[in-house]
Amino acid sequence: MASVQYAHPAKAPRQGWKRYAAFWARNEELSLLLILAIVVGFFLYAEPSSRQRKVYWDLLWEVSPTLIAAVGIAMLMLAAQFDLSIGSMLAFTGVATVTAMNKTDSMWLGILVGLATGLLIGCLNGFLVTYVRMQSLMTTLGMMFALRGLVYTYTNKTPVIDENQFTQFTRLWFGKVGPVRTPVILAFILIAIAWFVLTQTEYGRNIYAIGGNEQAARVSGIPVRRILFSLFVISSCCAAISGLLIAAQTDTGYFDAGVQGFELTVIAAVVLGGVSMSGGQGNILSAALAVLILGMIGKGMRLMGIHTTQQLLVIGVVMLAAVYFHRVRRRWAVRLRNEGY
Amino acid sequence: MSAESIARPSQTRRPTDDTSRGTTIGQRLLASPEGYLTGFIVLVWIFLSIRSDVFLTERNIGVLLSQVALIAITGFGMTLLMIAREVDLSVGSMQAFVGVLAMQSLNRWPYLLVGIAVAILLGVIVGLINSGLTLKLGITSFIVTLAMMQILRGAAYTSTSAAVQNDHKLSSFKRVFNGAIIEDPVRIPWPVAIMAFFFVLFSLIVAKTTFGRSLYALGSNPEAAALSGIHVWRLKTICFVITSALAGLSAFMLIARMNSGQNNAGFGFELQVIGAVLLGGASLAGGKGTILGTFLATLLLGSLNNGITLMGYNPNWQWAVTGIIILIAVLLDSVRRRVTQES
Repeated sequence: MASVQYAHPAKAPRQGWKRYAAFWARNEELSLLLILAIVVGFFLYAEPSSRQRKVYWDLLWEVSPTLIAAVGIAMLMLAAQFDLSIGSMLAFTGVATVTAMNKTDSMWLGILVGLATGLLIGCLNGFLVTYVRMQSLMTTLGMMFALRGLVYTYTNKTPVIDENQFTQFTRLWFGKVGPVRTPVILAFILIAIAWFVLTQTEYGRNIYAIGGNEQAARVSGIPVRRILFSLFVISSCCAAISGLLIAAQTDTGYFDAGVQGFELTVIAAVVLGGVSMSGGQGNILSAALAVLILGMIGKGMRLMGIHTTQQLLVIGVVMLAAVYFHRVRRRWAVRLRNEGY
Repeated sequence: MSAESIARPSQTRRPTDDTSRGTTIGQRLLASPEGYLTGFIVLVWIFLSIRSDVFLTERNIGVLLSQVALIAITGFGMTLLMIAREVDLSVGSMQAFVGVLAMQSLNRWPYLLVGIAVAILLGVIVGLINSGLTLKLGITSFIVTLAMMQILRGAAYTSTSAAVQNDHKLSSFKRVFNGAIIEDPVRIPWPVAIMAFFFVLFSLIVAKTTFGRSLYALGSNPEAAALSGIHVWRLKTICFVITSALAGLSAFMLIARMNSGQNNAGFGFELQVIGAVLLGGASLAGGKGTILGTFLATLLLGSLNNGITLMGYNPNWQWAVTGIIILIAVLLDSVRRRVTQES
């Protein structure tokens, strides 16, 4: 039987390894899951103490503040904006919360004040960027210094200790629902909401549109300013929630919370999750997976007895490798699509 | 048009030309970052010299400029890099990494030149790695240098668990920061002399050479620059290497000042440098910025910090003031852009 000649490769029968390659190259979440599986597999093999279920519950618990902050940052970065002030927000919210609790002797008022700081700083950032038209990276960089300075000046670099020792407040971090810790539940609820908003609503589509081309979005009648403003509020509020959790961890407002580059870690994780630095590309689930991958590497190394400060070396290398992997994956996706797979 | 006329600086538009056409003094000051930064500095200096007897003494100005030098020297390199639309976040960790390694090699081979050579060489190597990863793998420099920042910090922590002490007791070592190149008629400390040298050098390079003009072209429109025959990756590699080498040099001055190589040196240094460069008129979108602007911005921030210490305020205000100054500068920048767009 004579073989059939195809005029265009796209009409060629799909077969062979390229079919599978195309499948993996196109599915961002799946390929990140594969990386996570490889990382977990490596530690399961190399470190016996990682073969307990508790380790993984603890992992989720530890990364929950980062996950929550990453939700806000991912949404902001999808619209091609940045927020560098979230690291300082952790300290600002923590100190404000505990101070308010000490002043008013009421836990709920303290938490309310903590959340209000998120709203306040978010509105300030949003106002400066969208209405005064200041560049977001610089504005939030200034805000980062300003907030950290206010915290340092107010606390004089001493931790603010909760005088009433509210056990209710520490339950925010230590509490459990079934086997799951409260912060983990909080993180997953926020991720679910963000996923729903980004994929299922007009608001979410508008965020992608703004990130893709702000000018075009404005011309086509999308309320760009209002949406950007709301995104800054969301990102600051997410950071404030993380700040509350971290304050609840030790029941103190710590002046140096997040000082070791929290904002850069979160941005790095979000970028690893495939969110483009120039906006318009990426999704929230991949960003969350990337946070888990970075968290797992850190946790695994700690189990192996590598000091936290020395881990930075490995995390840096992994970050580079993962970003390069995304590049190669995208290139393959395009190439295989052109070949008709 | 001959090739010669293209190359002559007087006939090419300087990057500040389109914004500096105000008529009144106020408009002029607003028109360029150099303008309003000078205004700010004059105000701050007048205020401080009225309120404090110590401020305008030779000694204090020497201390102030020496501290400014630590940030400004790295800032000059960063300015070149940011004009070319790249950024280097690893300069803060460089302070720790280079400091620790330079101190260790000084302890082993107690010659000052060895230490300086190690510091600059490490800078060159890190710069080459940064540029290689950015340009060959095509990852944005923000991420590459962010990773490098963590790698170098981790390496600094791995190579020493505490600060590396000064075991070589070189008499010339401490003079790198505290000594003076000349004593008469005015005392000029070494860091200030080094800063002045690089200031003149890079100002000339940026304003007067083909290299400098290619940088602006590259930053404002990379594709057009590449099409017009500019060696994109060679230029960017040079910028990366210069930035890291200068960061290595300021790391060496930092260990001379602290008399030890500390593995936690330079936390947040990268953001201070980038903040100052942006304050001086550069943009993350590339194609903008001047060496003078960077110098004035670091001088302004340094003067404010110096003033806060002199007036006996809580030194923690330095952070807040830095933040507020950056915010004001960005605000002025956005006002300036709107005014020039309307006119």
